[in-house]
Amino acid sequence: MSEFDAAAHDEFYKSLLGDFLGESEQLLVALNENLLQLDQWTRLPVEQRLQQSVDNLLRDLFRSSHSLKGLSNMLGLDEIEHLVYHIEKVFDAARKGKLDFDGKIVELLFEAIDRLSNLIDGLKDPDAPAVQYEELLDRMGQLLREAGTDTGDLSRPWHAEQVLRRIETQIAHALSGVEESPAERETSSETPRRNEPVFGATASVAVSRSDAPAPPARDVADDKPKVVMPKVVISGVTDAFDGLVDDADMSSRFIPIFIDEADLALDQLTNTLLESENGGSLSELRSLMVIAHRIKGAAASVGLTRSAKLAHFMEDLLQELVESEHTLSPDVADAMLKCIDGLRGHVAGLKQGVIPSDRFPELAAALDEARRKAAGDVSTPVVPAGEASAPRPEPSPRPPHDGPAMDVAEPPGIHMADETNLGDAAAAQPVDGHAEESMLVPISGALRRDVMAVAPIGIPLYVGVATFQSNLALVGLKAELLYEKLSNVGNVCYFDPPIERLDSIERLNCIRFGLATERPERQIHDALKTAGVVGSVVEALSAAVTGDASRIETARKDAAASGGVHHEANLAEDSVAAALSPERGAAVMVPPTAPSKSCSKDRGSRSVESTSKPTETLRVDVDRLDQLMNLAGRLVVSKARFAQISDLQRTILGNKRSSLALKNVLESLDRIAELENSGDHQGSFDADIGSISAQARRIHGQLDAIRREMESFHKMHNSINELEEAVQQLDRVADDIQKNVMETRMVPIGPLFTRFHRVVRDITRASNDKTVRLEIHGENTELDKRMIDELSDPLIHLVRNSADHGIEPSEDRVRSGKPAEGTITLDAFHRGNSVLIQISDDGRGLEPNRILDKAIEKGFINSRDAERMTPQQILNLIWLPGFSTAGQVTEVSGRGVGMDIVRSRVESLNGTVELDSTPGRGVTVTIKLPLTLAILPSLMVELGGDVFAMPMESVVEIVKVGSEDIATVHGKMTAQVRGRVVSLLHLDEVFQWRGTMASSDRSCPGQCTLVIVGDGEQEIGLVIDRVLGEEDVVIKSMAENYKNVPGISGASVLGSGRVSLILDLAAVIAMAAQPNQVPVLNA
Amino acid sequence: MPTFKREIKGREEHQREAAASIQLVSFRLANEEYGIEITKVQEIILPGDITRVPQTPDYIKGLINLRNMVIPIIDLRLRFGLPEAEQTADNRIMVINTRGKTVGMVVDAVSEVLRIAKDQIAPPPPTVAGLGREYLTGLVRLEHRLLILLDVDCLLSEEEKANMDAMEASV
Repeated sequence: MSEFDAAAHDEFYKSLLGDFLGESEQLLVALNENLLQLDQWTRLPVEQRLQQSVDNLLRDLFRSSHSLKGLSNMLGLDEIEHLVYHIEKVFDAARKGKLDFDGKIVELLFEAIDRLSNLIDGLKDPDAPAVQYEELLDRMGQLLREAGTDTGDLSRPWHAEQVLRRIETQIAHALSGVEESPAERETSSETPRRNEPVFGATASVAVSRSDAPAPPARDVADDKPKVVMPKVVISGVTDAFDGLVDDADMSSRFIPIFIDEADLALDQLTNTLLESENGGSLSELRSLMVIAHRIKGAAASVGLTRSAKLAHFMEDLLQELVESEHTLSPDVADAMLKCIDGLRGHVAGLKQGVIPSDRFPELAAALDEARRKAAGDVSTPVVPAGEASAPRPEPSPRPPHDGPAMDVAEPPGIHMADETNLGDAAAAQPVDGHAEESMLVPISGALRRDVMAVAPIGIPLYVGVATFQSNLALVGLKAELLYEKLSNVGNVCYFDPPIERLDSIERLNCIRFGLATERPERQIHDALKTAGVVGSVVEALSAAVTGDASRIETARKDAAASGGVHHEANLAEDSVAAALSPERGAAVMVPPTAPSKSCSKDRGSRSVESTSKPTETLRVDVDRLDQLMNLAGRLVVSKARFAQISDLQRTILGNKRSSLALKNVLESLDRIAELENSGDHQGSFDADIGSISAQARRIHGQLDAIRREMESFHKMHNSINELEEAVQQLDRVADDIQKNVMETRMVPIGPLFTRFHRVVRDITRASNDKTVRLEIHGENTELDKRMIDELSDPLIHLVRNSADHGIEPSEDRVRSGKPAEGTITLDAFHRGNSVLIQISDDGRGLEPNRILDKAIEKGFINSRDAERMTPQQILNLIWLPGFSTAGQVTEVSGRGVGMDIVRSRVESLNGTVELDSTPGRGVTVTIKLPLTLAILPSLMVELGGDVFAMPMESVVEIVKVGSEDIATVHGKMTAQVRGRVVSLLHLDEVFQWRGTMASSDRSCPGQCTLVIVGDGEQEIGLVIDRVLGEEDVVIKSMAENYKNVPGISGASVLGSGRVSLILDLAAVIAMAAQPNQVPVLNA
Repeated sequence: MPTFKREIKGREEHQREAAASIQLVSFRLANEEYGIEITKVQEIILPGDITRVPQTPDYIKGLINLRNMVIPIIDLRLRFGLPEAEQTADNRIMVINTRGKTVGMVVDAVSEVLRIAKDQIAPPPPTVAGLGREYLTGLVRLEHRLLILLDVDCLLSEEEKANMDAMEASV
């Protein structure tokens, strides 16, 4: 058993595996989505294919598979690595133009990626069946051989030294691709500087990659050799940062991804590093490597290329140590810790919403220095001698600026490099004000008019044009970004081209905008300083325009001084335009990147001002959230208990008459006493009276004591009021807690929806006579995480049904005047306390007659029933188990199990599902779900000593009916409720209770209380003894410790601690309608 | 990986030692005394308010709330086909953990916890352990009395089967 396998039993390994699962899921989604796009691309006519877009796609695909491979390698997941390695090879071949992509290859890759996700799923579930993928490997190998790619011996890459070396070089290539990618993404024309040996060392990197001696101990303890990472020699490390600049375009909302990951990873890194400082075992080094890799990935994914680079160096160094079986020398550990501190400082800065300056080059240099020292110690020269002695501009082991804290003052050289590379524009063309001016689009009079027309009143107004570099990739997105940035500065009242069209724009010369803001003009220029923008013109539209030149002059001065110029929009547009023309002088030419040092300060302040503070996120175990939810539920229960107690006390002490009565008694006793004192009586009678009054006095004294106690009761009464107030407060807090906890479990439905692109595509591919398009709306609608998980299957059924049965073949569609392409729409939105999910298609719809025929044929109904059924009832037949109208069972659907599964799944989530169809126009299925699973607003009722909860969702109304309103119709009791006839149901009719024969008195003597419940179509009046009130009950599953019982959807704990049953009203209605048969139909 | 192996070995040894004897919780039901392995028993509680549940067999008395967890209660007398008895102060609910579920069982009284050697257990007579009574796993002869050994896992899995049949019959 190798040491690494031992680590598999480790908690740490488990957490790594968790990270791997999370990360791989994202990568798989990315792979699938990009592959879908690629698929679409292959189906375009050749002349419409854009080589550039497919290159981007292939690069992304390659990168995703490469990352996945790296991850699986580090965790020793050989199967996954093996498969993904093949996938990567195919993308690599395609990317290098050795492979012509067509539908077949895409199909093969889809299959491979499916298999891959099966393998990854298998990690979560140890009982999952083994995944067969060998055949796919063969097919991919075949493909690569045909393409003439040097495949080597793909089928068994695990034993041959020679293959290993090939893989090594492959990855070296791949990595070089990855490293260059950030720059590539920005520039279509590569910055020439990057290829020049700036300090004479970069060029040697390539040499050392191919010449690197095979790592001495590749076949370590493990008999399966690992694919080793390339030997990127860390030389000229400081230069490596020259070409790198953090992708300032990356929207700050993505930064939290990095912060979240980095915080955790840096802590782990530090701890592991400190533990292993005295040497460190191989597995510890591996752990370190994995963490560094994670940081690299996280940083790169949000465009923090500088951080990524540093993490990359760290990873490389660790890799080297692992391979050469070296231990961690104190020097290396020291340098690593410094790097960690550097990254930590960087992260801290990011948390404040600043893109801080860093001193990564120094750190990298220190790291390199430490590495070389360590290497020198054990005489394993990894760097060829000539290279090691290559001249270095910063040869010192400790760069001069290795201060204790993050210095603000960076070495000027580095800063220079930083600035010149701020945007590709600077590199792409000489930055020269005059040369630029010629290609800038000026602000036209028409633009000014347009902007004035839509401008808000009373806010300083600016108009501007930003010109893009020609042939800029993703220009639409860039424009969108500019829009967003400008929106941060002020109110963008005018934007051309319109923002909603930007998505589809491939080519764009410039954007024109109008901006109303109180902020200084400088901020607008800052916002426009974006990679890809070669220049911009902004001018203040001073509206105090009357033609008076002097006033304009002052206005302009004001503008220059404060940036705030009031504008009045009620002036004639023409005069505005005319009057403004002399002001054009105020327009400022802003080269986006100035290679001057003066600009660097400016940039620093920009990053402070313009980047908004990102929200911090935290990863939490779902179990913990469940626990919290449970606790919140208990809080709600005890809140209810408090409310009950205070209610009870109020009713007990509510009687104020007693004190009044007491007062009266006391008064009458007083009168008796007076009677004695009056003295107009004689004889023995006197004595009697005397004794009576003596008694009376005694009673008086006793009663007085009672009165005093009554007074304290009075005070208690007041304190009950206070208690009630406190309970109400508790109520609010409990509700808030519950709401907030619930919100933490909410996730957007978007990812679930986008999965269906693939489903629809597969169906379209499988049938050759129709095309289907999927439209998605409301992807930001949030649902409980568990609901999203549970919804996946029902939605797949519905979408498949729509695509397979609903949408007609293109020919038929065209014949009936519809577009040839069918559309399936997925939509999600909130309504009241529910979430609605709609799946609609524009297909042929459901034919009532066909449904009836089928239902009769299958014996669900007879033809007499059929005649009496309403259209909605006919449609509802489709939910019956075993019902399918499809003429034939196709590969994807038609087995007649789908719809009732959909229904039962949705109902298990306490939801309802409705179907609506217009023949010839399509079908809409609406799934209605409660906002949360755990808490159910219910009506509490009492019946026969039992307390039941009825979901408020299904309660229509509560009525009292007299015996005169009740009649029997063919043996069934019915009641007249405001003109309509409602059939009555006593729960005992449908529920068989333990030990009783369900024959309790079912008549309604005198008055009885009915709760009218309905599931949309049908209504039924449940006879109850008493309504207890409304309560939010916490649902407990009965199946958790027992099993599900028909008619009962769960249990909940009452405030008193007793268990009450939650009625499944839809099932109860169904049971009542067909007491002895399939509980779906009603007569 | 020597440490790992040693660990396994240790556990095995421990099991062998433990295998020689077992600890039982004994309880009374009608005039008989039964024993359940103590590891299956989570706790013993006083019977409280039980909420009855429809469409369940007679021996399911209903549901109770055990520290915010809803668990079913089985009347073991009815489960074994014994006549239902008046409730007494000795009645207890034994809360059992079996196969991921928590279930309560009403018994007449809980007597004691005792340790017995494995070789004290004799197989049940064939007339008792016949059809459908696989949950009776043995007899323990104590000084003055007989203890019937009950396998709750088996009992409750049969319970599920019985439920299934009942459901099918009712549908």
